[in-house]
Amino acid sequence: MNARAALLVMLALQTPAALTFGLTQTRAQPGPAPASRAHGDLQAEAFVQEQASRVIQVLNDRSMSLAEKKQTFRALVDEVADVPRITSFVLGRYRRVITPEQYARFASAFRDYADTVYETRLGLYHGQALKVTGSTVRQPGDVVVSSLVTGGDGGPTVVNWRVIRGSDGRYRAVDVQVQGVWLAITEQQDFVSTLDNHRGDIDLLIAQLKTGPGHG
Amino acid sequence: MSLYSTALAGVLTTTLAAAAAPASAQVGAPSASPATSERTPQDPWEDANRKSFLVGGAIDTILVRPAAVLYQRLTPRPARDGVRNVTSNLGEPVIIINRVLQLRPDLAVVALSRLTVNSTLGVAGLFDVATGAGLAKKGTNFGQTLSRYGVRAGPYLFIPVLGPSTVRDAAGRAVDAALDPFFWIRFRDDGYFLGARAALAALDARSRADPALQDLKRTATDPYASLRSAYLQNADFLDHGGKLDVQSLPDFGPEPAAPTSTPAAPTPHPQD
Repeated sequence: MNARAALLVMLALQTPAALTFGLTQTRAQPGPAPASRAHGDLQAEAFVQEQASRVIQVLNDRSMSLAEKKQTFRALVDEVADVPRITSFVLGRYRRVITPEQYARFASAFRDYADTVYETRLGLYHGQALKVTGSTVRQPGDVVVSSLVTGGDGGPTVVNWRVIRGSDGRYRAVDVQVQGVWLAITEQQDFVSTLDNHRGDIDLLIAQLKTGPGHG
Repeated sequence: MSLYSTALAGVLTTTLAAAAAPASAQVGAPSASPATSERTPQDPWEDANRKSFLVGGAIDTILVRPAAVLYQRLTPRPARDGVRNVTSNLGEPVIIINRVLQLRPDLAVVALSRLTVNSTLGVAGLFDVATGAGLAKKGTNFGQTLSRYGVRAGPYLFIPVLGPSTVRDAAGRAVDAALDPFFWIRFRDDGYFLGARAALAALDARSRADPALQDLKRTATDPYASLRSAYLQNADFLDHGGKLDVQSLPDFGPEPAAPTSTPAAPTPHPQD
């Protein structure tokens, strides 16, 4: 499990196994919280509901081959997720100290890595449904949308989406939370820890992303 | 495993990072960030924890995971579900006690009802009929009871075999074991019963966690940091009763295409 942020949508739809490694020990888990959240931002809610439906439709489309699904997904990602913002975020404080050239190389490696990670999970997906239940405005244009995902292995799962409005006026997802665990935040802590432990060597992190961290 | 050889350096940089860093590629101590998500002050014993993590990983690879995989292969799904239901049902008394201590009689009644229904209609807990009757399991433990009385989680702890925890929650686990009536009731072969029950619960938990843990191993650049991050976020979520505090979330910053704080503008993000 991990927090491969660029393809947040897919992973969250493949809850709970992929997302809940924080709970894999014998911690108590609360049931899904009642969907009592107020409707803070209807545009953000509509965004999540519409995009989730598109993604689920692709995942459930039995007429598509796995290769076709992968291709469709790569195209969807840029519409659904704010990849540049996520890329910048996961570097944490190191974002401010690397050169533009290093950033460009990291962004490219991160995108390929995230695509690969999520695509390996495509085949594992089995039909689920998502229903938006409410939203909370953190600040204007920065909203957490709550949803309930049903039809997976476990019971219904609350999935929260952090969506941010870009300069083009459209919302895009930057993070997703299941059982309290935010993917992009976890990803950031993973990358920052690796950088901390290697004196901020961004090239080492890029190399790990390219070869697959498990072999790094 | 080479990832962890410089763990000590990580502790030092994390602790000492205070001064502003030069805009250079090799930085030991970058400037402090307003994003609270980056720091792990909850892990003051990171060096020792990382060693435990390595030991735990080795034990897991050699012993625990093979046993869990074998268990999964040898037993059919309905049998595993039954085992899970039985061990879960045997855990209800501890939940009831903790709910009483938490002054949550409503949830104590839910757990008591589950225990009663599943132990009778559910054939000694083999089937979870209570969930189907609208009495879904709401687990808890003594760590959460302490949390309810204002005891903070304390430093992060990684304990081999038991996994990620905090000082409070590890102590809570010990208390939970002592609160368990089965720990005190004496009957024939009670030692075997407790051992078998613990082993089955552990096998079940480990085999269920396997896809997630394998994924972690495969994809995280620092599995220790990823697991710690997820555990602490989840623990915080449970301490707040699953409520979301959006104001505590880190800033995502301005749109990266138009940075204001970087000395030089980055090249645009390549779109494949």
